[in-house]
Amino acid sequence: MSDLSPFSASRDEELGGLLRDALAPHHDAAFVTRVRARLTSQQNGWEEDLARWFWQGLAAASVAIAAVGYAMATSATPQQGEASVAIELLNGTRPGAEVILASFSVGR
Amino acid sequence: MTGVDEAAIAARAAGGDADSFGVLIEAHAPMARRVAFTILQDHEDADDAAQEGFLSAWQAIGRYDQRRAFRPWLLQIVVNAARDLRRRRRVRTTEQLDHVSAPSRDDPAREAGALDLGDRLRSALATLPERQRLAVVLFDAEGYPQADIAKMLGIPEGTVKSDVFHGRRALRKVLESVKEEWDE
Repeated sequence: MSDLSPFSASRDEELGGLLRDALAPHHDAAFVTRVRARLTSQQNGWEEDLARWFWQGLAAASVAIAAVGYAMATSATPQQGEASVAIELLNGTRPGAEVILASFSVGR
Repeated sequence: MTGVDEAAIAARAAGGDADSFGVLIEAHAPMARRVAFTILQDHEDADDAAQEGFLSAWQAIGRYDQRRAFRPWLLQIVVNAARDLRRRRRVRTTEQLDHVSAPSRDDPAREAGALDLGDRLRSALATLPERQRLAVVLFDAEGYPQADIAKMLGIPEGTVKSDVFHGRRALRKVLESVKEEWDE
């Protein structure tokens, strides 16, 4: 047995060696293979997740662009319609234009 | 593996090279499993914790400071993983097996009933408080300086010295009794 005092700051090599032997795990290679496999599957999982999110993101972006385009197209139409009604009223070409214009002047 | 080699490999792993990290796993798996076993006292749990530690280390490798040694950084993560697992196991065990009594701590070697030195040492270790177990294993078996162990476990260096002293004394008692049996 070692002659080291328990208070010694030096390493007890004999006890350390016996402890390493006593705690030595079995099948190191199998353990390493298992951890590496988990690492790979975790990595692949990330890549698959990323790929799935990419396509989902692309689809969502396409839908959003289409929706914005549609909204812009449809919102432009009433403005044009409103402008054309005002022009028709002012030109007096729209039936009943005199009545409408008279009601504005009475309102003032 | 020298410190220079390891630093270079760790740097490549930190850059996202999984093969380099695999080399580090291979180099440090025995140490990680021994330390996890010291905490958990069960080989299957120890392997689960060591694996969890390696996977956590891989996820955190970008934060690893390459100017510092890789081994203590990894060991800290493995110790945390083993302690987390022990907490989860303890909750589960308390819920499921609250009728099982704790083992006697009078004479672990006699309780083990085996002449195998490894069995006796493991039994003796199991009777020590976790901090003492870790201190004596990390210092005498794994070769870490007491100052590093203190940082790793978040305790003063004087406490590590005291834990090493008490742990050694208990283990030596067992070893002496085995020696006496062998002499008879």
